[in-house]
Amino acid sequence: MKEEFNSIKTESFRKIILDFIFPCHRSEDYSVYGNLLVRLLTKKTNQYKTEEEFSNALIENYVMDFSLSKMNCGENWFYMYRFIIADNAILKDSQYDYQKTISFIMDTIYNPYALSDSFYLEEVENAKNRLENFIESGFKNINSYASIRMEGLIDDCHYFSDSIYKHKKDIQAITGKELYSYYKEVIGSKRPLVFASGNIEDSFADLLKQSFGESRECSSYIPYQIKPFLPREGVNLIEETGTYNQSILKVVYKIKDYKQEDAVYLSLLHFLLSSQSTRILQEFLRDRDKLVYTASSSFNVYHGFFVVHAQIYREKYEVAKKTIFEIMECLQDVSFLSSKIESIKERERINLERQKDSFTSLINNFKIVYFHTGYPLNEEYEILKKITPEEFVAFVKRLKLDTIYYLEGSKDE
Amino acid sequence: MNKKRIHRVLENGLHIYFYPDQNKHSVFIDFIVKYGAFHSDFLSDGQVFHMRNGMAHLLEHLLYEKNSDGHFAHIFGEKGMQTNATTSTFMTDFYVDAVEEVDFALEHLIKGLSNPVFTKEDIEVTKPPIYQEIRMRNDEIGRTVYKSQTKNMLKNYTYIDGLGTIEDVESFTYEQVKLCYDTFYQPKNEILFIAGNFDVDTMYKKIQDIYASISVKEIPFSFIKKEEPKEVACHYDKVEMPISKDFVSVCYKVDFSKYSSRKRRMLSCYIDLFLEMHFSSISSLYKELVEKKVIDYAISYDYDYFEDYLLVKVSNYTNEEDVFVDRVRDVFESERNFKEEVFRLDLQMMRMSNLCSDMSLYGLFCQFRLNYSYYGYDDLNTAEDLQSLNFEDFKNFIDGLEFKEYLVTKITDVKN
Repeated sequence: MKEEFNSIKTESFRKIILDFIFPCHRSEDYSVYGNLLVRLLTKKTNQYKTEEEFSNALIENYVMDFSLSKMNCGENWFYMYRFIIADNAILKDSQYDYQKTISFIMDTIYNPYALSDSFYLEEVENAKNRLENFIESGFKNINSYASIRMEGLIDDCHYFSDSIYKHKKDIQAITGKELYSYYKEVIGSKRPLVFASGNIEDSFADLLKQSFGESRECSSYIPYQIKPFLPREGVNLIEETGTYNQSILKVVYKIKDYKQEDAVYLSLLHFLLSSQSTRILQEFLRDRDKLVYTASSSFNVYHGFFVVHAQIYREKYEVAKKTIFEIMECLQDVSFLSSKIESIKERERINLERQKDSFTSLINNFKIVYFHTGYPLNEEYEILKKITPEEFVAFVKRLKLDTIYYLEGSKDE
Repeated sequence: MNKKRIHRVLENGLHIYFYPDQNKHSVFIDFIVKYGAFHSDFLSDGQVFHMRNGMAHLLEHLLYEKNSDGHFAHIFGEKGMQTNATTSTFMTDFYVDAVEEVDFALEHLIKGLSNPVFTKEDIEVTKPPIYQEIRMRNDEIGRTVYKSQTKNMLKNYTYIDGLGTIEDVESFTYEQVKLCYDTFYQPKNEILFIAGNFDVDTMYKKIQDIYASISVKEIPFSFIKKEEPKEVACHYDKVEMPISKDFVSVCYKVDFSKYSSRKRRMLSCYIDLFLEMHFSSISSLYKELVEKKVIDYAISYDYDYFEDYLLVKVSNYTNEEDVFVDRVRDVFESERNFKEEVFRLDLQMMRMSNLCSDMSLYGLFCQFRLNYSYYGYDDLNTAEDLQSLNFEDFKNFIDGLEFKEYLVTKITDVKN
């Protein structure tokens, strides 16, 4: 078992990040539970029974920011409480007591506003309403709707079956009691993995360890291992219309024989197309063809797919599609790529320096290593540096066009 | 972050603000032009001009993409630098953030924006991506509400938003674009903001050398301030677009003419505190509206300045438009609930946020831009600024504001 308490000492910043991660197994059946929890657990506790009291307590305990999020990590969900607190070496406030702040954090996590075995009905109802509105807003907003549709179209193995957008119908049936029982199972009875970054003195780290290393059961998680989507035979072409001003085109590629080491190639592909150093998408689609205001790319290292996104005017659909195919063809031409790949290597070398000014990059890099979800920036750069244009072309040849999704806006202007 | 400012002025009238910090790993350089989306009416060389919405933004795109050195994204991007440009209400700015080759960045940014040669064709090819940007923004709820408010709150200004309509942008001619460039892009109307890891004297000398090789033009100009009545142009506006639930915004037009722009900077803290106290999730109104199931979400609130007026906005998703609007109006117009303890804690948070800020260089610039463009204050905020704030002063100030003229904007789902 890995170390549960991880403190990363740096004096470069004026705040301290405290992340408390509760892993649990992803499950379609509990998708709604998780999404309700993150809407329930951030406003009150049994000690601070109103939002006003809780909000005041945050300030009195020197908490500058607080959030609870649920994220996917391989086959796990991570419930992550993040507290950003002031560094008293900077603040120099005689009233500030880290022990008191940690007690407040413990109270926020383990003493939520609830009865002994159930969340309060009105709190649950409010969370349900907000979750329903969140889902409906996702379906109404052109960008999120297009992403939801695309996910559904490429997910042949139902890996996205725990997406909340597929579970709106399940929301109303859940009771406060069931939700509380789920909370106890995944958070309330567990001790978290702790990641702290900032000016963390040994005494502060000891305090954290003592507070969270007690009798609760240790959290466990399924080690990260990629689950590649398999390229399909042929191409899935879906065209739809909606009452929007703009239109969206998404072109999805899957990767033949995808393996975890391909993640650096996916990064390189993304940087080539979308970074300011080479901006191939913008150069073709905007500067040359005047088709878009913005075009971008994204990728998923867990499932191994790559997406080109373009927000276009409906009359430009066919020509935009052709230009994207032309770009992907160019990526198989070593003479086209050589200098561009060198630019990206140079960019990443410079970014290693720039990252030193980022408040969150240190802790994020640490987590990447801890959970084996990829490469930290310095390692990624070392691998990237050695990639030749020929090797990159060989990777591009493994990209298989899988899905073209087009959502046409029907409004004028 | 070191917030100590060093201010220099060149002979040509250019103001330079240095914020050196040897702990940072890059240098952020921003070239600011005091010409923004709101500046439609002006005198240039003795003649009166009026421009449609979107001119400052078109000029920003044109100069970023077709300046005398080429396309900034190419020039700086190839060297691993970060770069972008924005048009805000009262300013246009172009930035580059460089870890290495800072002299290159400085020289190309200044020279690229000074005396560019652009053609009629350059202007025409710059327009289509802007049309697409306009379509994209028109699908955003926030942008739609903003446009409703500027259109219906301001009677005598034609300003609606920085992008303009496709028709506005299509209409701009080479002569108009050239006129606006020549009028506003001159050193006495420009500022350089430089923050990060550099030596001030060396940097200053470099800037002097760069400008020594640039011919400076001087065209007298001034913005035309219009008489704007206290009344709003319209009290109710309904807009249809795809939305999951009705979104309702109440916006007040408040006369702020008696306060100097510098005084407004500190008063803005009081407005923040007032909105926090009365509309945030700690307010009694929020609690009441949640209990009555009028709202589910936290209430959002914000404000903007336009010349002598403050526009204060309070919004939320609701299916109970009348109740929401009535209760928000009650708070603004009669039901104030000042709490000294909340005031004390909020000030504590402001002080803590200021002292323990790990703001990026770009974040620092955004604070400078806000202070300069809204309050005419050419520096960053400090924790000491907060010492002059007190509860009695706060109550008197808020009670002295007249919340009378308002607009309700309702965004509702598209009818099938």
